[in-house]
Amino acid sequence: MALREKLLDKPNEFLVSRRDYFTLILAIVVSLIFIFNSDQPQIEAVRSWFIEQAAGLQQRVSWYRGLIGLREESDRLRQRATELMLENGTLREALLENHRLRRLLEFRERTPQRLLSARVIAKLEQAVNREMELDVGRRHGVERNMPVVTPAGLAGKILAVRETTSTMQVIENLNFKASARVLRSREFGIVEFQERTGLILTSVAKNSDVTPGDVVVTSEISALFPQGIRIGIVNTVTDDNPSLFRDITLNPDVEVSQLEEVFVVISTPPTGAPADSTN
Amino acid sequence: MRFVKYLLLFLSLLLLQTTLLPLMSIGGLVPDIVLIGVIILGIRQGAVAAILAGCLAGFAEDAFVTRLFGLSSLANAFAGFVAGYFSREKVKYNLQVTLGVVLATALVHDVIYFFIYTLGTSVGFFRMLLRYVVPTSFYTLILAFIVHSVWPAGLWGKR
Repeated sequence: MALREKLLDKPNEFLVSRRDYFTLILAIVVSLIFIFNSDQPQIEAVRSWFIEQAAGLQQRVSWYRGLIGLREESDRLRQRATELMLENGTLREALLENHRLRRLLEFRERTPQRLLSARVIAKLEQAVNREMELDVGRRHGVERNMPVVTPAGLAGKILAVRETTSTMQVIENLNFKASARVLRSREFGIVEFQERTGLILTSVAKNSDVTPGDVVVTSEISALFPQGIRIGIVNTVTDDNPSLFRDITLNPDVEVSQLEEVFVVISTPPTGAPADSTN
Repeated sequence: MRFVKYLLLFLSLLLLQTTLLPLMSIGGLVPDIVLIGVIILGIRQGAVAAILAGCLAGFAEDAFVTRLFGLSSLANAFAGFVAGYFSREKVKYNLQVTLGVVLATALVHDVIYFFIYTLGTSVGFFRMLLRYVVPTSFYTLILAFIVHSVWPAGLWGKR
């Protein structure tokens, strides 16, 4: 009972102790109601001021909302841009792939040999032993030592064959050798790869006719490679060594590091030439 | 009885404010004798009575004098609150205190009154203070001093 009375009394105490303020607030409210119901110029000015402030505030709120909207829009656009960038990358890849495949197709159509297209599925990029895994194998008719070519030229040869995959030894491998000749002067030589100098043409006599810019192709005396496949272009020719042969470096036609699709030469038209010991 | 006494007082003050005091106008400024009544009530009876009386008297004043209805009642309500703050329970009487309370109350009243009155006009705030507020407040202070001289117990007298 006492508690209830206390609770009931407290609001009264609160009102009584602050009656000055409540009376003032009441008087202010009543006066302002009368004042703002007036159409005097002073009140019009106050109304205009309030309207201006409200408009300014509304403008700021709208601006802020717009800013939030812009941020959301920006996030959406950024996300969309990322998606488009990825899509664009995929399309660009597809376009490049399309160009590559078109070139491969054209190459295949104009090449007399029977070609088996293959994709590079793995690369072994060691300095002394550069090899690549192809997605074709015994089941597809691939055999050991079959040449591997691209529209640009000779890429390598098959080193090992499994049921559905095979290993390609690329031309930039220290163990790779191919019988070759200079297309212009018909000079013979052997194409090798050295870690220090890159692709070279060896066993070319010092009095032979070889100059930078000459095209080097596989020779008809090779037992493995069909004749006339481009290998590279002569880069430098020097005779500074004490041996009987010239030092000839080549720029390979095939960019080995960028290989993605290749052809395995399944059958080679008979040349009638005897096989050489260096492939 | 007390209510009737103050009612008569305010009626008299309103009559004076609307008839006689405009004749005492100096440069368009008229002292506010109703405000002195509000101050008397605030000092003697406290803020609540002063606010209510000031507000009601302000409405009457607005009806006759001011074109902006509610303006005097608002200013008088504030004046009643300030005068009530300096009521006898809080400060001790002497002439300086009396005149100080009158001046403070008059300044609050006139600032509110003239601020709203000059809204939307070319009169700036400081010009409003110097041209209207301070002179009118001092004019009211002089009038309060005259009232105090004529009726010494009036402002701080018995209830």
